[in-house]
Amino acid sequence: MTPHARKRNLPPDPAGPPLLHDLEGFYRTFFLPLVRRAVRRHGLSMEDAADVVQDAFILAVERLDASKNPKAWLYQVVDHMALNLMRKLRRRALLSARWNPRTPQEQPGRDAE
Amino acid sequence: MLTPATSLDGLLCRLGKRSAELVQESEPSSAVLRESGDLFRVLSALSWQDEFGEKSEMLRRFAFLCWRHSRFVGTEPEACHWLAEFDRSLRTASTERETLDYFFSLARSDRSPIVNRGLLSTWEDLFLATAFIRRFRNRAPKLVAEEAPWLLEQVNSLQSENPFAERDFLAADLAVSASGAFRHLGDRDLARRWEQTARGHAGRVRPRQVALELVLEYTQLANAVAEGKYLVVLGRWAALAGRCLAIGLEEQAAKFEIVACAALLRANRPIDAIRQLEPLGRNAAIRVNEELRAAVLILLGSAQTLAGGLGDVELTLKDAATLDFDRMGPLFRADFVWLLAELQRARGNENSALSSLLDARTGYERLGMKTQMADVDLVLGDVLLSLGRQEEARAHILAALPTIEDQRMVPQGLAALALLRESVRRRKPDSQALRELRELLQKRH
Repeated sequence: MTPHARKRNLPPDPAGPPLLHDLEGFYRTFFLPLVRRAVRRHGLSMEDAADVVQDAFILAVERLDASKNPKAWLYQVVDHMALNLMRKLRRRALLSARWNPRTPQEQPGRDAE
Repeated sequence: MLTPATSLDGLLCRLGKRSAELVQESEPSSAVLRESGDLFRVLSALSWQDEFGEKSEMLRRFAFLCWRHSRFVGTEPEACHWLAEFDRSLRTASTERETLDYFFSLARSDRSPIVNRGLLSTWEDLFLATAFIRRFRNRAPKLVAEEAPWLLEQVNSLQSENPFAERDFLAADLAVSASGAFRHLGDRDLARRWEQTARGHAGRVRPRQVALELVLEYTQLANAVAEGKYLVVLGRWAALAGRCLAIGLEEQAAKFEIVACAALLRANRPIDAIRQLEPLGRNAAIRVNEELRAAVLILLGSAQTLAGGLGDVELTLKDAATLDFDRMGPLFRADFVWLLAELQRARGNENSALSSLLDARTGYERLGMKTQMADVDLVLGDVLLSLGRQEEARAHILAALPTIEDQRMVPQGLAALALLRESVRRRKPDSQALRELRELLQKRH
């Protein structure tokens, strides 16, 4: 194990974090593996996983600190966003089930008499 | 529309998707076991430019599924095999492992519920974290002593259902890790308490896991060696090793034999220890496991030193020098350097021995291993006395006393007294030293 020092409360750097030199190259290399991880770990569809990973890269443009571990950072961001999306999808499904009950009189396509 | 760039991408996507479906299965299933095993083998044969360590992640997923289901619908050796495969895949570097590494480096106050949820939200996550801790049992006892109890709290408090009844298994495994860590750190009381905690959880594991129970027995014997109860160990190890071999656990059987040899050595029976260690070093399970091989060689070297076979010690040290101590961790390195110091001393090379002993002491200090430090301090005291450096000798002997007292290390206490008397005898009367000696003797009686 690489010994890590305990995080210390350092003052923020006014210049901001050093950005990744080649974000586009990083994106090309890591986009699909990150999508696959989101599918594998969180059970997302490919499309939802791709949306989550794209959002993570948008965040990376602003916040990724290239001096730390960019891959691990992206991993965690993708995981958090995927969990948030799963939570949203579950809530949506619950609400949908509550507010769109399918009783025999209300089935779509049946004319009122 | 997202389309994989290559057919390999497509295959990896499908494997990942299928693994996500399989992990949702909530009933033990031989079909899942079979399919997961097949997919593990398919994946093992693939290679690609893998920037994240994705392959080892996916192998871990399938190994976990195989372990989970084989506990119920497979055999115990099968479950042990898949647990070993999971642990093996964790040795490969991956971003997932780095993320865990970073997480455990965070101060507790920085581990917000959000961070926790991201990393420890499922039983599979906790299984991975438990394996991560297990990996450091012999490498970073301070880390394990801090984190195993904390992780056990997370295991106990996870609310989600676990149809595979993994909670007690994980809790027992973490408690075993904690017991070993406290033993390495020289806290025998805590080592025993965690052993009891592990027993409590292991007793509730269903289906019953003989392998886990044998790991617990090993923990008990290792704690007994630390407490000086050698006869207990020597009376029980062979039957336990036999039980391991009966279910194909050669490595665990070898560990029982190693702990028996440690007991023989501490009981001052080096010839008996050598008689067992030499063939043990040729054991197939030992040869393929670098940590076990290191443990055998270091014990063998110590036994040979005690028995006075210096030529044999040199050969053993040469064999041990081929091991990758950087990879195995600082504990093995410190043990090896201490063995080297013993040989140097036996050859009359006091100055080289002194340098090696100080190196070993630094290693144990960094690991937080108080009892090892105390032992080395006494040897340092002895060497320094023979070099005529009484003040430094006294400093090392006195540094050992708190641990000797705290951990009730009786033979070491007697050795310390003898050394202090000798240091006083070789100097002009030193009232401070005499006062300290008197206080120590008063405490003892």
